[in-house]
Amino acid sequence: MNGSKSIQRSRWHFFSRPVLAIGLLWTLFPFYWLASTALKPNDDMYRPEPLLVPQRLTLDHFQKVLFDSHFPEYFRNSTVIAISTTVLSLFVGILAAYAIVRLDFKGKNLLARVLIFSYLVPPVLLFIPLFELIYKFDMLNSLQGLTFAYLTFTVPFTTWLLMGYFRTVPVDLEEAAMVDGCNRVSALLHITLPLSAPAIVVTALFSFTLSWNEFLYALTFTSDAASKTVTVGLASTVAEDVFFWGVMMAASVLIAIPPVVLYLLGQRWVVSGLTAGAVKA
Amino acid sequence: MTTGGRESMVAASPEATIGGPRRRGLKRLLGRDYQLAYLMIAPSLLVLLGLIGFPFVRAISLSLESQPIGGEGHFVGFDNFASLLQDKLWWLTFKNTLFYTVMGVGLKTVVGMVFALILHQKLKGRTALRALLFIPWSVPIVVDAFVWRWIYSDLNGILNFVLYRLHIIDQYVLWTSDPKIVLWAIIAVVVWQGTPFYMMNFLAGLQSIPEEQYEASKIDGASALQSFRHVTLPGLTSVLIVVTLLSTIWTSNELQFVYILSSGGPAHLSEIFPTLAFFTSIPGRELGMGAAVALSFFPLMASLIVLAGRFMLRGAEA
Repeated sequence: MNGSKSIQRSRWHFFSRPVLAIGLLWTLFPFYWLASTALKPNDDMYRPEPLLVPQRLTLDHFQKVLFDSHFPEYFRNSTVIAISTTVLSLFVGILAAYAIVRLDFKGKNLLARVLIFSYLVPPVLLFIPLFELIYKFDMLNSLQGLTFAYLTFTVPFTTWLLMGYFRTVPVDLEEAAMVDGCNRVSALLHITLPLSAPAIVVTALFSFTLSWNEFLYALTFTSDAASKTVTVGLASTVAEDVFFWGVMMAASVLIAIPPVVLYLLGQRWVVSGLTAGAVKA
Repeated sequence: MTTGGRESMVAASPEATIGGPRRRGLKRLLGRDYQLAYLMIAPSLLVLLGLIGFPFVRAISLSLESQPIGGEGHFVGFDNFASLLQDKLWWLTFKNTLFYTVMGVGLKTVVGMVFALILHQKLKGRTALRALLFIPWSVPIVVDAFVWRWIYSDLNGILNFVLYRLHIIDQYVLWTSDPKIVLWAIIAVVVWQGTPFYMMNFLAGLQSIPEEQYEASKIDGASALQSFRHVTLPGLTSVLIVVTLLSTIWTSNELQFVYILSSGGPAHLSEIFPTLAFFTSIPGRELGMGAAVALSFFPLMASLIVLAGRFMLRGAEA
């Protein structure tokens, strides 16, 4: 009995270590290649035999991205849009989530349902009518236009996440406060919100990253440097230069840093948040 | 309780006045906290109706119109759909999307499960490994796709060079323009990017299976494979269903991989619905036809959305 168990275990180990090694190589090599390309001089990049290990390092590509391209504008646009989307959707989401979880009103189950289904409606179905809408309101190539479009996925998502968190805040605390003369709004402000502060931070982080990474809406609704975001800016850099890979990879590194840092910080909550409730960690 | 005659909003519902003071009747009808609640959900209703509901309905009406960008639209009934169904390109796109989605989701499930099982062991540095394996998913997809476009590059790409040196290939492969290879090359990137999400969810699922169940199956003399089948898999069912459903929706609707790696080419052999809808409506300037393309894929999508939504609601209420 014991013997067969240890054979099984060693077999599994025998199998799992190489698989893990291959998996790590497969997962991480592209990022090594990304970073090393960003740091390699052009002469070393476009040669018949690519250098797996760079011989010379240069910051030329980063310099070009930061001081001789539209990227600073793209960064500013993405930051402004992601922050406004996050603030707006938190405001909308906190109010709605609190009402659904704590208040008694007709239609709240319907609203919860509508929220989850709208979270699942893919942008591919919405980008064409949204384009028309934004076009009619003359908001193509504007940061406001994109912010409104991003609310279509951040609001359902934020509300849904916060509903889950608000449910875990004990209702007794609020009731006690209300007996002491607090009204609903101050109970929300002084009890529920402070208690769910970590959750709100994670939700904010999430909606920031979703907006930062968004591509289809930005591709559809913007076409000039003054309004492009980092993702679409990156995609449009290809056409500008023959030897573009160094600059592309340098820009990619800079674009990837904010979401990667935020996700690594919030990893634990991020995954359970996405499938919200259905997956019990 | 006094009669709340001053609430003008309330007057819109005449039933409320039946059987007693208006305000109490309304409370019975609309719920104890209806006034504050409706005030609090108003902004989200505005977003849901104005930015999701209305556009959704408009997508349907657009699909029944011939509507060029900036031009005058006119109603054409089901003409758009009829011409799509007669179009070889639509059928090719349909086939590609199915293949791409089924392969992508299938492989992500298998690879994600293998990594989750490996990481579920008591390994040294497990937290660090988990963080590292999570990176592809946290990077913006547009960056992932461009890194791979560079790796796949015909002449200066590292993949061709390494495989050639290792004598795995005897001539350079056109990863994103060879008709036989292009979809597989894209699927590989999709799997690479999406596996971490599966892995993390499966890992969370694995950790929720009580250790006693494994011990019980060991006492019953179950082999490793048997305990995987009878303990692990049943314990993961709900995670498996939700993750696969969500991922099927997301994978089939993600246009960035195809858009950046191949633009749907060569000769539309890697075209999928999201790219076709985009190319038709924005560069092609035919909003009506584009909406029809997006909607022609919707019946399948709707059933997935309803299923996934039910599972998520059930999970939240449990």
